[in-house]
Amino acid sequence: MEEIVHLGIPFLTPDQWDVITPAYKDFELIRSEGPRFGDMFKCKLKSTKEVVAMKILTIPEDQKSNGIPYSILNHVSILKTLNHPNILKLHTVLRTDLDVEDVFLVFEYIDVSLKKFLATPFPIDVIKLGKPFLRQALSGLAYLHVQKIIHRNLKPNNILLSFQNHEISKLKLTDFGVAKSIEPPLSPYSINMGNPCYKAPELLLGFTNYSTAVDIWSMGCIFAEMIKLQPLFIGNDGPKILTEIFCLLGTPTEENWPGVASLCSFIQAFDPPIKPKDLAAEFPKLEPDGLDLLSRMLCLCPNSRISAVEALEHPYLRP
Amino acid sequence: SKIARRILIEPEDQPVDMDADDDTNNLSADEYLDELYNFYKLTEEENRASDYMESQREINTKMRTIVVDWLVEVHRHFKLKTETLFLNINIIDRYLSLINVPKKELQLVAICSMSLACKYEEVSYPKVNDLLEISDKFYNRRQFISRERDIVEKLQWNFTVTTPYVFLVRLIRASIVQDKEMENMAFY
Repeated sequence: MEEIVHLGIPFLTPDQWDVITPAYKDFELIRSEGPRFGDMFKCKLKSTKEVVAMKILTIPEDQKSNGIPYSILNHVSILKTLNHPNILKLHTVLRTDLDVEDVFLVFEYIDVSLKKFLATPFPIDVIKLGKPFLRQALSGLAYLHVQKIIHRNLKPNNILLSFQNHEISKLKLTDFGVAKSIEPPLSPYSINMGNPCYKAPELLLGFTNYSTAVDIWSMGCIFAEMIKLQPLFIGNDGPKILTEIFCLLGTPTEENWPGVASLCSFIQAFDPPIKPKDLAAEFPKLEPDGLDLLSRMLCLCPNSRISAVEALEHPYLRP
Repeated sequence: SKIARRILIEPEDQPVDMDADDDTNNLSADEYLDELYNFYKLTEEENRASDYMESQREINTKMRTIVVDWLVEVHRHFKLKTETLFLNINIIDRYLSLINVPKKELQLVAICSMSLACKYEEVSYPKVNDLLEISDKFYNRRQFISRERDIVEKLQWNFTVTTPYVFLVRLIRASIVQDKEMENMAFY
């Protein structure tokens, strides 16, 4: 795919292009310039010269007989409700012919994902930019959580950044493909989405009645990754990641996660239990307040984990 | 529901912490509950259908009643959640306030709305075939899929809506003595 980009061939299939262009003559696909981020295409509005990002949701062949898949309905419906400076703004959903199955989403355009930044030879200076980064990212999360939406797939690819004079000028959370709008009383939800490296322990242990705290865990992992310049927990599957988590933070106990440690055979298999490591030694660059906030975001028990609103009030983030 | 509103806004002199027994359910979104309901209050009016019957040529309130009663039965048949029913009716009303629907297509709108509400709320839900079946195969799959898409487009993909359900749940919960009969009376 990368090669095709450089050849200047559009990412859209000719069929998709034919669908959009008659109704939206204003769109010009930017072909070879600029990075392609995730599954989005960079486009320009001819009239205003505004650069936008287009994302196409395609209905899988085997689901077409059931109309619009729930995943697409859920995804777009959540996007429609979001309006916050730290969340990638959905401009519009293109109206297509009723026979067309693909759904075309048009977003504001932001340059680069955090993942790309972490891979450059000159990554983000966390000492200088860690606070504004967390402040903006947590503002976005607090906004989501207050209106009962869990992102469920936070990772460096899904945080877009742009810089101005070496300061973060914009930070946007993106990809609400597996986000979930929850309602009290909470019912069980799927635990099978998201990258295991950023998954909260309650998800990895298989608890289906989780809540917004799973996003805080992911954000804690991401923040730690910005400092370490590699993922905090590395592994391909749940058990491997859980083992890594326990190696750093210790196995859960009845004191710090009541009712769970004694019920999970996976946890009991760690005998003798692992003692938590000293975070200050693991993150020597981070100041004490930052360490305290990180440890609260990476709290094993979801109930005791700091919330986004509380985190914004934490001494580390106070201006 | 002015009284309901008053109860929500003015707690009694000595409020009972109605979520006290929720401590055992250790993953509930408790810390956000107050803010959540403030948010519901703000969004309640946003996606409410206007009074539309005047503008419908072939449909009247009596037909709507029949369709809603039928849907209650269908929802019970498929063992769906109560919030799905409320969303289902919200979708129908919002669509009918925008589009003139012929009498013979009202049921199609009902099952397409039901399909959308299920996809939004339920983990497992009836498939298109089941829905065509319960409407005596009066419509075909093609009609279903294109009407479903039209509802989505006309409602501009707004399905995250605040229905009366969330307030009813809260009020029933607040009414200390909880009994199933009152709960059912309130929902239907």
